[in-house]
Parts: sequence; C-alpha cells; structure tokens
Amino acid sequence: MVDIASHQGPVPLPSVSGRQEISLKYLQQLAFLLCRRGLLVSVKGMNGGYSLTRNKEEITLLEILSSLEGDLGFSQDLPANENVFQRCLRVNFYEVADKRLRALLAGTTLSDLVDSVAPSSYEYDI
Amino acid sequence: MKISTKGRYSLEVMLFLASYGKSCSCTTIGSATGISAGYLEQLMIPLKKANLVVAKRGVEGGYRVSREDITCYDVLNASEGDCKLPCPHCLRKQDCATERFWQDFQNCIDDASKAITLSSLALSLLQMEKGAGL
Repeated sequence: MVDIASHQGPVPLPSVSGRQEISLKYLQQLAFLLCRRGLLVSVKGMNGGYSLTRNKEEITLLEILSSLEGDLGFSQDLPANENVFQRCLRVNFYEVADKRLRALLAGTTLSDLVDSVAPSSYEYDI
Repeated sequence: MKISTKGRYSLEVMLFLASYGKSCSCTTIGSATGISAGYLEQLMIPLKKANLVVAKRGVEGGYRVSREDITCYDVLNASEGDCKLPCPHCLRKQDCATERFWQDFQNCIDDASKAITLSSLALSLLQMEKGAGL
C-alpha cells in the first residue's frame, strides 16, 4: 500500500514485487483482499495496475491490516473454556492492550508511513 | 501481533504464584492452571533466569514470586525474549517506511504491559472470585 501510494497512476504488481522484494503470487493474494475491502481498485489495460480508492491521508492502518489479518489483537486465539487466571488476564491486560493497539492503528494513516521516508526509497524502479 | 502460547502460560503461572502467596510445587501450579508439570518445568527456566521466581528445595519448598512489583512486561520479556517485531532482521530496515510504525506498535504493547503488575492482577482475581461467590 505504501508503494502504491508513493506512485502516480495505476501501479502494476510486478513493479511492486521488484521494488519490495515480495513474490508476485503473494502480492496478488493481498491485492485481492485489499480490493475486496474497497481500498484498492484494479485498472485494466496497457497502463493498468492497482490504484488507491481514496487519498492516502484517508486510509488508516486499521482498515488495511484488518482486511488482511482479521483483528491483529491479543484477544483472538483464546481458549474456549477459560479458567479464572485466563479470564483475569484477558479482562485486565489483553483487552486493554487491544484497545490501545486499535487506537494506534486507527490513528495512523498511509500518508504517515509514506511521508516518513525519503521519496527515493519507494520511487525508483529496479 | 499476538503473545505466544508460552508467553500466555507464563503469565498465568506468574499470576497464580502472585495470588497464592507462598511457595508451591509444580503439581499445585499444574492443578490450578491446567498446565502439565513437564511443561511447567520448561516455563520456569527463563523465569528463574530472569529472577522472577525463586525455587526452594525441601518440605516447604517449591516456587514463589521473587518480588512484589513484577509487571506483565517483565514476564513476557523473560519468556518470549527480544525478537518480537515482525521484521527484526530485515536488511531493508533503513529505507523502510513501515519500520518506524512497527516500533510504535511494539512500544504500545510494551507500555501497556509495563503498566500492569502481577499484584494488581492478583487483586482483580480476588474480586472476581468474590463476585462469583467462590
């Protein structure tokens, strides 16, 4: 998403793959999920590729990560029948930490990430 | 970013010990937490190394917490070690736009875990048990 946000116009996945050193196949899976979530749109044709559907200032990390990994919090994967110690930790620690993490993710936008590095890191092509 | 099973179990064990108050055997810990004695012995190794638990031999021996003010951070740090970020060994760290964010993410978790002590959890535990009429 940072890579796409750092370029003008639709970005072809193979170019993202080259710059970010992530396999094309994997990127295709991610792009599918992000499109389904309405964060990316696929542009067909000669100068095609993927584009953001909104400005990078308007897309939060919470939206991006939750479309890929569900909730990214501690409260998942918890045993079905929790004992009193597990319950105590969940209520007082895991759920508290979750709230704080969600707030951080909701408060960080794609532009925060894009603007945090020098332009050359993401714009050059291999 | 999830806490590992090892981390969770270590927290449960430490919470039990903090609420129990005195030394107890792995058998006792196991009965209360549902964790097998064998696995408990393994969990204790890094906790002992980090001086969070004290082991005593003899009749009234066993394990107990080493001090009052142990935080969840202390327990997780001991049991899970340092490599928690998604990409600690990434060679592209310098140029990475997301690296700074993952630091913030980790700091958020660390701050939350440093703010919670085992003693405060033990107190909540007591209140929970009272509330349930146990």
